[in-house]
Amino acid sequence: MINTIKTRLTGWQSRFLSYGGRLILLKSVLTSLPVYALSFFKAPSGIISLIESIFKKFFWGGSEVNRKISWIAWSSICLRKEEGGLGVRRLKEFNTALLGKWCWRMLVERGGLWYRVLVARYGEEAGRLEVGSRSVSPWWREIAKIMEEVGENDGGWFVERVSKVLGDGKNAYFWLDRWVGEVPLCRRFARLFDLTTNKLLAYLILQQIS
Amino acid sequence: MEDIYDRGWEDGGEVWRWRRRLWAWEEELVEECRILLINVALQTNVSDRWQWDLDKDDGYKVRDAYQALTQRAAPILDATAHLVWNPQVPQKVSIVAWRLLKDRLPTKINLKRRGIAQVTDTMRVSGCGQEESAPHLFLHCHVFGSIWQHIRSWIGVTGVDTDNVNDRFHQFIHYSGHLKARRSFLQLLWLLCVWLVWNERNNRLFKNTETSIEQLLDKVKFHLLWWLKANNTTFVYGSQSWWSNPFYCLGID
Repeated sequence: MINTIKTRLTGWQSRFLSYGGRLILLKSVLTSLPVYALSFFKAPSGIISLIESIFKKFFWGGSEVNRKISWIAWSSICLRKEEGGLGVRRLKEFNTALLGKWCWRMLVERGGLWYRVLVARYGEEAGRLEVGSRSVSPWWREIAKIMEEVGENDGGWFVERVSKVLGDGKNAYFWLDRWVGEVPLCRRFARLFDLTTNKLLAYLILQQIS
Repeated sequence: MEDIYDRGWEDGGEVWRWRRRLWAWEEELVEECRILLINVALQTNVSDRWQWDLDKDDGYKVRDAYQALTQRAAPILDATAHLVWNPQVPQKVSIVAWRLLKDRLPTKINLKRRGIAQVTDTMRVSGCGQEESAPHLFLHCHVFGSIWQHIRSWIGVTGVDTDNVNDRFHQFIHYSGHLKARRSFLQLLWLLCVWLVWNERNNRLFKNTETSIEQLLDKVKFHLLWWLKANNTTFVYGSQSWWSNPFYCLGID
C-alpha cells in the first residue's frame, strides 16, 4: 500500500505544483488510496504515521531526498476548515470509522453469508456475536474491540451511538440493548444486572411463557 | 398497544428475579429502574430495529462516525479561519492567506527563529531597514503597507488600521457594511492583495525584479476583474468602468 502511494507520488514531481494543487491531490487522491485497505483492516499505528509522514512531506513540497520545513503541525492541518485547518483526513480516526461500518452491518445485516460464517466460527448470544476467547483472527479482534469498547471519553463511541427502537419488543434484550435512556440498563444498573438470574432476558420469551 | 404487564415487568415478574434477596438500597435501584419503564410502549405490528443515533433514518455513515470521532470537547473557535476560503479564489491564494493568519509564512523572522537565515540577513526586502515579520511586511512596511491606502481610496472607504493581521482582515471585510455581496468582494480583494504582496516580496528577493506600488495596484485591479469574470459570465463591464467604480460594476454601490 505504501508502495502504491510512493509510486503515485513519483509521477507527480511535487515541485511543479502549487500548494493549492498539492492540497487537492492530497485530499482527493492520496487519502483515498488506502481506503479499501483501511475499510477492512485496522492499520498498525506505525503504518499510519509512516503514511502521514509521506503526506506531510508531499504537502510541504519535500521529496525523498530534500527536506522541507513543516510550518504547521499536521494535527492542525487535519482540523476542519471552520476550525482553522485544511480539512485533511486523519487516518487513524478514519480507519476506525470505516471499521465501525462492519459493527453496524453485524447488527442489521444478519442474512449475509459472511455473517453466518462468523456465527459458525464464534457463536451468537443475545443477538450479537461472541467475541471468543480462543485464538481469534486479528481482524475479528479489532472489530470486536470497537463493539465492546466501554469508556468515559473516547471509548464506547460506537455503542453509545447505537440504540434499539422498540417495536413489538421481540428482538430487544432487556438488559443488554440500549432501548431506554443513555446507556444500556446493564450498565446503568450494574448492581441489579449482577444479581439478576436472567441476564439474557428478551421479553418475547416472557410473552410466550405467560 | 400492549398492556405493560404482559412483559414480565410486573411485581414478581421475570425481570425481577434475583439470585438472593435484595438489600434496601438495591430495592431503591429497582424502583428507579421501574420508573424508567413507565412510559415505554410497544407496537405489536412493528419489529424492533437498530438505530444509529447520528442518522436516525439512514443508519450508519462513515462520515458521521468520523466526525464523531474527531469532534473535540471544546472546538477551537476562530472567527477569521473560514474567511480565507472562497470558491472564487484559487486554493494556492487561500493557503498563503491561511499561513499568514497563523504567522507561518517563511518570512525572515520566522526563518531566523528556526535557525535557518543568518541574523544579518533579516532586514526587509523592500529596504526599509526593519526586520521582516509578517505584520510588518503586510501592514506597517512603508513600501508594501502603503498599498492598503491605495486600495481604500480606490474603493472609496475609510478606516483605521489595527496592528494585528487577523483583526485587520476581519475589519477590512466589514469596511463597507454587512451586506453579503460587499463582504465577499472585500474578502476577494484582501486575499488578492496578500497574495500579490507576497509574490512581489518573493520576486524582489529571488528574481531581483521590482514592481512599483502603483503597478501592484493595477495588478490587483486586473486580477480581481479576471477572478470575477471567470466566475461570472454575465459580468460585462470592461476595465474602464471597473477602474473607476468597482462597487457600481458589481451592482452593490
